Amino acid sequence: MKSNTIILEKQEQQVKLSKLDTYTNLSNSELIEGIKCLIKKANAIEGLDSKPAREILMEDRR
Amino acid sequence: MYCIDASVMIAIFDESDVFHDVSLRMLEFVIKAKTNIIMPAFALAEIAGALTRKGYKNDDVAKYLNYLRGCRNIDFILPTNELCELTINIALQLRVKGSDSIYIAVSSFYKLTLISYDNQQRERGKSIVETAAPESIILSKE
Repeated sequence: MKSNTIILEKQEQQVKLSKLDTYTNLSNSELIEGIKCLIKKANAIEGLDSKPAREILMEDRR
Repeated sequence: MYCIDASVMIAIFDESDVFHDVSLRMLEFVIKAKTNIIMPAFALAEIAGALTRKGYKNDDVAKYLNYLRGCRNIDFILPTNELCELTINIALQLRVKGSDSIYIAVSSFYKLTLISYDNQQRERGKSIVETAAPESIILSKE
C-alpha cells in the first residue's frame, strides 16, 4: 500500500512540467517588466520576417 | 480557469501582430489576477518553432519560454496515458488536426475555457468545450 502511494505521488509530480526557480522567485511586477523588456529587445533586431509568427504557426497546423 | 493556445502566446511576443497589444494586456492581467492557466507542454515547442522561424534570436525566444514557465499561475501539462486516450478520441470524433485535439483534450480534461486566435480550433472545439477570444478573460473580470 505504501509503495502504491509513492508511485501515485511520482505520477502526480510528472503531470506538470517543472518550474524554473530563477523565474518563479520573481515578483509578478518583475515578471511582467522582464517580459516587456525582452519583447522590446527581441523586436528591435533587423531581418525579422514581415509575416506575423502567428501566421507561421497556422501554416504549420494546416 | 483557462487553457491558452500557442497562437496567443506568440502574439504576445510579436509586436507586428495585430493582436499583440490585447494579448500582452491579457497576460499582464492573468499574472496580476493570478488566473489559473493550464497549457499542454508541447505548446512551448510550438511557440519556439514559430518565433524562431520569423527570425527572433534563439536566446530571446528561450528566455521568453522560461518566463512563461516561471509564471506561478501557468502550468504546462505533460501527456499522461489518460490524456493521450482522450486526445485520440477527440481527434477521431471531431476530425481535427493533431495539435487542435491536444488543446481541446486538455481543456475538456481540466474543465477549462479554451482561449485561442485559431478560428478553426475554436469552431471545432466548441462542441466539447467552451471557447473564447483572449480579451474575454479581461472582460469577464471587469
